[in-house]
Amino acid sequence: MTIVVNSLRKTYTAGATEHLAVDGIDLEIGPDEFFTLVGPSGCGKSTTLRCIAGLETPTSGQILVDDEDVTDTAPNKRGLAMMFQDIALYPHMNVIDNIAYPLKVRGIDKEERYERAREVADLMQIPELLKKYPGELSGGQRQRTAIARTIVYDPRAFLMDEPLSDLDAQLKVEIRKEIQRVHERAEKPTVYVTHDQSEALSMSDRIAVMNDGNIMGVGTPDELYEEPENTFVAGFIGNPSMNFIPGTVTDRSNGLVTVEAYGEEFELELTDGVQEDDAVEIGIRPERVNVVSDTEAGRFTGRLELIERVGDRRLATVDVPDGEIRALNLRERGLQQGEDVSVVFDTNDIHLFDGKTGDAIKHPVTYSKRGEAAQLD
Amino acid sequence: MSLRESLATDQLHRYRRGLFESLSKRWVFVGLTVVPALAVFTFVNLFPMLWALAASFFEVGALQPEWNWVGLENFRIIVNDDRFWSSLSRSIVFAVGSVGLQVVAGTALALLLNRSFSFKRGVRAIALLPYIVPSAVLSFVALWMGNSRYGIINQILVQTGLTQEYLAWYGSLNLAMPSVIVTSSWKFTIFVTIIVLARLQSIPPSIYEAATISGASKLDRFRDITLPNLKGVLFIVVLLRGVWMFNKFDIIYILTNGGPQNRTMIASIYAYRTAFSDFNLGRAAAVSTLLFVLLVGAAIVYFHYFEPSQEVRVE
Repeated sequence: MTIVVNSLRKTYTAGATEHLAVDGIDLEIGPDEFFTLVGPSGCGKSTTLRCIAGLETPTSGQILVDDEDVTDTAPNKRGLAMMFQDIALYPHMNVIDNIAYPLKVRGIDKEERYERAREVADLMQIPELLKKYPGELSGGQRQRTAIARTIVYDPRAFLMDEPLSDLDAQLKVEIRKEIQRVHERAEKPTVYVTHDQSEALSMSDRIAVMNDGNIMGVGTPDELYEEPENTFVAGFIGNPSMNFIPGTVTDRSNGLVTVEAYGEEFELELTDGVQEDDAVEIGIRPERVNVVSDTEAGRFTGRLELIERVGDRRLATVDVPDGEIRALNLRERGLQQGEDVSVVFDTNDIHLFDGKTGDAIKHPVTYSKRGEAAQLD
Repeated sequence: MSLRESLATDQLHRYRRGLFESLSKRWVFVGLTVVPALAVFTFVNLFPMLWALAASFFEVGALQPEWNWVGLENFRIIVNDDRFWSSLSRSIVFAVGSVGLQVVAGTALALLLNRSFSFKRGVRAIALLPYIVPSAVLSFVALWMGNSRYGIINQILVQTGLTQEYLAWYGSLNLAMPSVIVTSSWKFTIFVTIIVLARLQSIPPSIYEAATISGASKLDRFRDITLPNLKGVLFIVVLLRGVWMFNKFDIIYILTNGGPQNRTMIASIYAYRTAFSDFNLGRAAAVSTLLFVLLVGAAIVYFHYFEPSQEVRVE
């Protein structure tokens, strides 16, 4: 089972103005792949999903499910399953009728559909709730019921439109696990939409990052994190997001490129891709940046504006001449907010992007290859 | 600001604060909001009801001041009067027919207005128009439209070939009742539409989407989502419209005055004639009292049978 999207385009007309929601995108989702569309709100990810579902009609383009063109197939004939942000249980039906409803419209008799509803309710660990109404359930129980409703029949693929965004953090983790369990069991393609990049990174086999109706980058979580195609993907994936420092190429010789930024020179191993005087953008992940109070030690100096706790680490924000740099790899204890510090990072960790197009020119040798990732503190 | 001015402002503030405080007192608030409504209800509804109830045990002539106690004599005469029973059955035909038509047409119109299409607002305004127009005006308009010699309806029907000749809608024995049913439904259908539409718009669209994706056809969605969600309001609408149409008087009085040959003489017209043609106010009061008791009985059965507390599910 696969889902293929060919040059999908969707525009809305509101009065005289035409709004472009999806700008001709291509996707290919493998047989049992967990595929996530991620991006800021209004980027077209939900519209894309709704086009696949058939709830929106594409302006142009083609959608194939199992090599069958379903672009003009009615949504109730596509054999897909979908989960919604507001869960969308039927408030006037109890849990067992909610779960069994897809079977009811398939003309399966009451006894058999209740039997199968009970089976999936057991699977979702909600067998004691069958007689209750959605209004009497907790958020987690509703989500479990909604999942049960999608797996009671044998859909060709699962579509999920931000199903976790209304849940609290703890419940998110719990339901996330359930969704993955269901995905692994069903061995069907799952298309998952979220605005939360960390959710995307932790759940997906592959991710497409969208912005303004376009796909900015597609890849596995590792690929997107380590070798982002452009500054948008680099900035969107990873939290806190990557630091960008504008610079200029000042020299090219002997396989080395010299980039000047904020009056500092960086020598990068690079043979082609840039010319002298090219505007470039240096990208460096906060996880790779350290801050020390010795102002002579590092690349840039600046005022330590803020230190905050992010999980088990401290995040430092340093004011540098033309912006700020965030650092998450702090080793020195006793750093004080407001003091002058310098920013330290390894030239090997630099991503280099074209200053005009934002396309990637060079990535660091992947962290995993260097076997360094485990040594971060 | 002079001292005098500031004192005046102070006084004004104190006065305003005092006003707010006294208005905020529970009994003052209750008095100001509930008492006027209660007073109107008492004088316009309750007193006439009690008056009619009392009068039904007396012989009350329209032209004489004294009441003569007759006990249950009025009721005995009425229940032995074939005209009462036939008028009652006509009331039931009229109420069931017009409520049925209003509920079906009103719900259909609500479903239509719930979709988006061009000129939706215009259609909604036009549909609302008959409801705002006074019954008397609407009835006279309907009379002209249905006129057997130059009414627009006859003209259209004949010109399109649907009928061969001009019909006396309100004047022929077989057409009069259906005609008054349609005319009164023309006015009150939008009442059903307004209430049903409000309910329809409160159904979250994602429920329909969820059903669609899981395979439900349009018909499935209507049967399994729309109708169950409308059950509660339709229950109330049928009850209210049933009571109101059962007691309807003005439209029929103007359209047919109970004719032709009493074919549209529903119970309210019968009561009116008893009072103002036979000048027998006591007996008319007895008719009204009987109708009242019948309606209360029907309402109790209705509530008991349909158990609205279970049907009306509020999330």
